[in-house]
Parts: sequence; structure tokens; C-alpha cells
Amino acid sequence: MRPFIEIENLEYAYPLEGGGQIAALRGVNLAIEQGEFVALIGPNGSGKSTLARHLNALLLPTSGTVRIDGLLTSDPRHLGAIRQKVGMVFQNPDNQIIATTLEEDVAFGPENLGIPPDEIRQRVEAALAAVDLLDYRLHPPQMLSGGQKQRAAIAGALAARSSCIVFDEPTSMLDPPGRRQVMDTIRHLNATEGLTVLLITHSMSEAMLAQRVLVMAAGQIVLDGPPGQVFSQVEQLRGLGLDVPPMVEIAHRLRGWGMDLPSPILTVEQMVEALGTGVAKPGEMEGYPLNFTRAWPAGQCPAPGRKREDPTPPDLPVRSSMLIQVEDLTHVYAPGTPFERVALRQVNLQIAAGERVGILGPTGSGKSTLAQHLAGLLKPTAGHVLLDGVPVHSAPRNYRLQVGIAFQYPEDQIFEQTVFREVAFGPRNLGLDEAEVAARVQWALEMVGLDPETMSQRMPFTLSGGEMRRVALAGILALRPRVLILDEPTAGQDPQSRRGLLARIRAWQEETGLTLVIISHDLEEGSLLQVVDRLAMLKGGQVVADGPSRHILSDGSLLSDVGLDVPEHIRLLQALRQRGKKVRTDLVSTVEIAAEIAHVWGLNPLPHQKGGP
Amino acid sequence: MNGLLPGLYVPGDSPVHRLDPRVKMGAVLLLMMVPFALQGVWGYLLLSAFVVLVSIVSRVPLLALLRTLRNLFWIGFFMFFLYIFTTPGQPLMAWGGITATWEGLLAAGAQIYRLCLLVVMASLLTFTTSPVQLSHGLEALLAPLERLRLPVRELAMVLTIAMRFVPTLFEEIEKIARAQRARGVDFSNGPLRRARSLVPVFVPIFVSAFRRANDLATAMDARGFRCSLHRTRLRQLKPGLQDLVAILVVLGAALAAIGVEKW
Repeated sequence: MRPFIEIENLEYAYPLEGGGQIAALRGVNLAIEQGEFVALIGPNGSGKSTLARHLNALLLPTSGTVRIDGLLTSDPRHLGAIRQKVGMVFQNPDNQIIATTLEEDVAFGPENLGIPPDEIRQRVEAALAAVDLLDYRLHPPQMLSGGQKQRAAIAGALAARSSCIVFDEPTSMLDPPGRRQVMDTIRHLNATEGLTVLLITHSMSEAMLAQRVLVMAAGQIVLDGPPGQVFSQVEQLRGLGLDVPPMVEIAHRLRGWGMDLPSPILTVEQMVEALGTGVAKPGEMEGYPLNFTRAWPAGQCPAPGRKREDPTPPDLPVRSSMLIQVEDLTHVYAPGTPFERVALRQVNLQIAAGERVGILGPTGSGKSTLAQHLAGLLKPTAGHVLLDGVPVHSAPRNYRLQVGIAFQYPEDQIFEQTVFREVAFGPRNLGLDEAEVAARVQWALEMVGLDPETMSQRMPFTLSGGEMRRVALAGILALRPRVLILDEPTAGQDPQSRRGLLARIRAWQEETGLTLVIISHDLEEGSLLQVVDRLAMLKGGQVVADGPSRHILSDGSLLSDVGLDVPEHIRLLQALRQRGKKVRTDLVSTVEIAAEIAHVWGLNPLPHQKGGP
Repeated sequence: MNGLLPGLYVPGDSPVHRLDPRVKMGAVLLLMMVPFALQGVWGYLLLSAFVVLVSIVSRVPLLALLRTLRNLFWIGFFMFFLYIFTTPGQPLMAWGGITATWEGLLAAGAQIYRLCLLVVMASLLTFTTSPVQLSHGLEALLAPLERLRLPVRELAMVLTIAMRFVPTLFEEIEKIARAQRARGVDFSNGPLRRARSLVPVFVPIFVSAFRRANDLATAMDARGFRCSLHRTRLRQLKPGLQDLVAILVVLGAALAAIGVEKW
């Protein structure tokens, strides 16, 4: 039998405005069988989406062929059949829902196929049941969560009886529960219905769930194999700017330090299993040999497993010195209407000057509302938000502008014709003279890693997504705020840009000493912990935990109670402790954890010598 | 989503929600004409009572319904002065060359009340009818025009999509406005500065609207939509007994409101 998807020597070039073209695919050969679950990873701009769009004839090859179930996509007569066979789910949940109720939207595909109404109804109900949304069928899309919208899009393809769905970063705009819902749905449909899946993702933990992983770089498929095999190519993946799953990275380090580990190790369970056979030596909590942990002075490291009722950890500054004071803050949206919603309930939070705080919570926990209150953009329904003792909402504008805030996807607010004017917009509003404005623009662009010389006169809308985000952030930095609030600053970026941006944010904080508040719905697989050292956890509009991040993380149940993903490397430490290994659980980076394991297992870690014996 | 946008659909399952959209649209059109045939107080009272009754049956919160009137404030304000000064009659007060009259006061009151009734009735329609149903009803009512080569189906599709994105658009305007306020834009100072402060909000909104349109077109394409395609519909419009009853009740109410004055 021939493969369901057959691609031969596929090349594709995008036409450029003003002539010329740019090659996006350079000779792709690929065969995918019916029922396979394939993940496609690769840095931004490597051609993943372009490839995906060839699978249901949204794009047609410049040269080479694409066959779906034997049908050539370049033949216009097959267009309808191909689009029925291959469904697509896109990144932005909002921009693919057409109708105003869920069931009407799911019916859109079958309606286009001219299916009789009675059969459409049956198909819609079956499809909604398959993604577990039958109860929501009369809901308008704006009342659904991101995860529900993406599942609705999956139902739309199922109702058209697609046997293959191509997912183009379906989870990158979702929160952890949404991601889990979508991934569970995908796996379930693949396993029980034999749905063929091609999943484009930036998340290595999602890619690991597939049977087969493809890695794209510069328009070609450079790696193709089962996850264990592909992820063992640590150096090559790093060279492409891709993340390596945390367990793979820890195993890689441990092997480099001479530990004999079986291969492959992808999951926490495999790692625990592998370490179980290692040489165990009683580890010591004191006398920790490596200088990774500066945040905890000697003797103050909390014992693992403490409960949250514990008194406030010792290194929180006293209250009188607080820069930001949130007192009994309550916020209610749309009071007195059917859509009334309490977003914050009597929140109390103090932040000292120069602190680096992460505010974590699932969607709907009130964290974005809290962020806007910190910036004085919302009027408290009850309570106060004080900056240096002054209520920030009712303070004069220039006082309020001491707090800079970048919303999610800040590039959406760009409106000027040049980068210079865009970044200068805030400083000019402050009433600064032009010399000062120019100096600030220069400084801000340098801080975000853009060259002021070449960038200043460019049009923002011609830049890449990552560059636009940095321009938008420069526009906030140029206000030289004392407090900088970033709402999901790395959302939707690929792993390399994410790491780069977080490192920059850390550098801004260190250079300017500003107070940093980062809002996030997850720990970004731990990378957020490289930037913040205090975590406040929000749930249902209330602060349920607040303290140094190591303290919060050492209590494994805190994250999962709030509905957040526990990063894998934290789970590893917890699993090892359960097995009776005396590892510390207040570690945050994979380097620290690998070193701790090496120490406890009696190896001599030499982090400077890469490669090992 | 903040507050209730004027005319936003409130999902529900009341008898009014379940009516055929064509019947509801026809009924509202008819009822909207009634105030123009009314002169006295009794007719208005009867019509108002009927509107209140329908809103109770449809379980739309009365407060939400009255809230839609807030948008009329300036128009009402303007109408008030227009009528009170231009209607000839018994003088009430006079400044310089202009005179306010008793008759003007009454006329202003009547006109403003009439306008409020119209808006409340129209809101009742949009509150209880999903945009899909509205455009489906409109498509059915306008279907005869297809013979004149008017693209009625495509228009209905455009209308549905437009309505689908109204809440999204409002949300986005609010978000961008707040983001720009965080960069020092002042939305409160004087009409000129206020007009200037709209640029940083509406340029991004347009950019994003084009991107959305592009994404949506791709998604529709991927789901097999093509213009001039023969499409079927999930929901067929099938008027039932309740629709007949509704027509009779509305006709009765309209006639009663007009009749009570003649009687």
C-alpha cells in the first residue's frame, strides 16, 4: 500500500515583493503512513509551516510533487477531496473560528461538502463528543478557553471526516491546562481512531509523545527517526538552536562526567530507572561543593518538603521598605451584568525595590488583571495599589509611568512608521527634549540587542516577529521605568529566541537595578527561574503562595495545586527523594541538578570540562 | 470582555430564543412601526407593557436591556433641545430670541420615549437571536433578491463573520488602548488631543484586523470553503406552531395598542 502522504523533491520559493523569490523548501522527501503520529520541530523560519501548507494544497510546489492518498495536490480537480482528507489546525485559536456558536463552527466543513442537514447534525455531535465538548455546543467562541477553541477546530476537521490533521503549533498560544487538553485529544484520536497526525511544535516534551520526530533546518529535513534516536543528537540539535528535553540534557551531562547510563533517556521515569542502578552513596545536605546557589545564605536553605503554612522565609525584606504595596485589592469586571466576574479577591502583595518576582497562575487566575493594577491602568473595585505610598491609579500620569508594562504580544501595539519613532513615542509623551529622547531610543535599542544605526529608520512592520517584539519592549524600556512588568514576554517564540530574551531581561535588571515582575502561566520548562528569584502563585484571584522560588519549588505540590506544570527536572528530584535518595529539591537549573546527582552518586563533576572521558 | 456590548447575544433557551428568526425580525419590524401610529398615553402604555412582558418571557435581564439606552444619551439630549425650542405653543421659558414651550416639552418626551422603545425592541431581537440565526433569517428574507443576481448568501456569510468578530474587536481595542496608556497616551484631554490619541490605537487595530482576515481566509480555505459553492446548512428554518402563535400574539398586541386609542 502506498503511504498516505508522499512528498518527492519538494521545493518551494516565496515570491518577494518587487521581484525575486526566497527559497523556503529545498528538496524535501517524506513519506507518512496512515495512522502515524509524527512531530515536526525546527527553528523559526526553517520551513515547517510552509511544508504543512503543502499537505492540503494551501500552497502548491514550485517543483517536485506532493501526493495525498495518491492524489496529486497540484491537480485542481483533487482540491476538494484533498482538503476533505487533510484537516488543519492553526496556531491562533481566535482566527480559525468562523461561526458564532460552537456547533455552527464545527458544521462549517460538512456544509461546504454539501452534506444533508440531518447527517451534519449527527457528524457534529459525534465530533464534539470525540473532543469532549458536547456540553458547549451552543457556546459562542469568545466564551471558550483557548484549549477548548483548539479542540473545537479539531472537531471541525473530524466532522469533515478528515483522516489526517496537520497541526501548526496548536499549543503555542495556550496555557498548560489547554496544552494538556489538546495533546491528550491528539493522542487519544491517534490511538483510538487511527488519525494520522503531523504536529508542528516548539515544545520538546510534546514532540516526545510522537512515534516519529522530524527536524527541519533551512528548508530541509535533517533528522528523522523515533524520539529516542533524534533527541540523542544533543550537539546537533543545540547547533540548530533547538531545546533538548531536560532529561536528555541531564543524562548528557552525567555521561560527560563519566556516569554509565543506558540510552535513550527521555522521560523522568526512564531517568529514575536508570539512576536506580547507579552507584548510590549517601549524600550530604551540607558542604555542597558547587557555587551555584547564591540565593540561600548558609544555614537558611529550607528543608525539603515543608508545607506552605510555614512562616515567611527569612530573606523577604521588611514591609516598610516596600516599593509596591498591594492591599486588599479586589477587582470585579462588568459588575451588575450577566457577565460579572470577580478577577481578584483581597489580594495582598509587597514588592521591594530591585526584586525579581514571577507571578504565576493559570488562565483566569487574575494575574493579568493584577499586572494592570500594578501599572495603575485599572481602578481597584476595592483596596489599594501603592507605589512608594502613593495610589498609582489616581496619581498624575508621569508618576504612573514610573511603572512600565509590556502586555502579552506587545508587538501588537506597534503603530509608527519607523523603529525610532515607535521607541521614541513613550519618552516624547513624557515631555522630554529631543536630545534626551534620541539618547533613550539609542540606549533602549541597544538593550534589546538591536543596532540603532541600522534599525532606527526601518519600518517596524517589515521586521520579523522576534524583532518586532524587541522593538516593542524597547519602547517600554525607553520610559526608563523603575518597575518593569512583563506579561508572558516570551509567548509564541521559538526556544532560542526565548532563551535569548530571558537572558536579556535578566541583563536589563542587573544593569538598571529596576524592579522586575514577570507574569507567566508556566515556568517555561524552568527557564523563567533563571530570571526571577521570587514566585507568587495566583489561583482564583487570590495569592495562594509567595516566597523565594527555591522554597516554592521544593514543595512539589504547590505548583500542581495551582494547576501548573511541574517542570520535569523538578519532578525528577521529587521522584528521587521518594526513592530515598538524599538529593536537595530546591534546585532550579538542569546544570545544578546534574551536578547534584553527580555529587550524590559519588561522581566528581567538573562542569568546565565538557565531553568527559 | 468587559460589560455588555450593545446588542450582544445572550445565549438562552427561552420561548423567544427558540422562535424562527424570520418571525422575530418581521415582528420587530412591525412593532417598530406601531409607535408612529400612536398619539396618546394608553397606546404607549400597552406597547411598553408588551415589551416588558416579552423581555420577561425571554429571560433577558431588564437591567441589561435598559443599559443599551445609555448609548442614546447624546442623541436624546440633542432631541430634547430641538423639540422644546422648535415646537410652537404656550411659552414656558424664554431666553433672547428662543422660547421653550409646554408642547415642546411634551413632544420631546414623546419622541425620546419612542426612540427608547425602538432601541429596546431592536435589542430584544439581538439579545435573543444568535448572529448566525440573524444572518440566516436575513438571508431567507432577502432570498428573492438572488434572482436579481445579488450575492445574498455571500453577504450573509460576511455578516456572520463580522458579527463573530465584534466582541474580539472590542476586546482588542480595549487592550491596545490600555497598552498605549501605559506609554503615556492621554485619552481624556480635549477633542484635538483626543483625536490624535486615537492613531496609536487604530493603526494597530487595522494591522491586526488585516492579519486576522488573512488567517481566517486561510482557515476557511483549508476547510473547503469556496465562493459560489453549493453549501448546505446545519440549521434549517422550519417555522412551527410556536411561530404561528407568536405572529398572532404580536399582531394582537400591535392592533390593541393602536386600537385602544381609537376606542
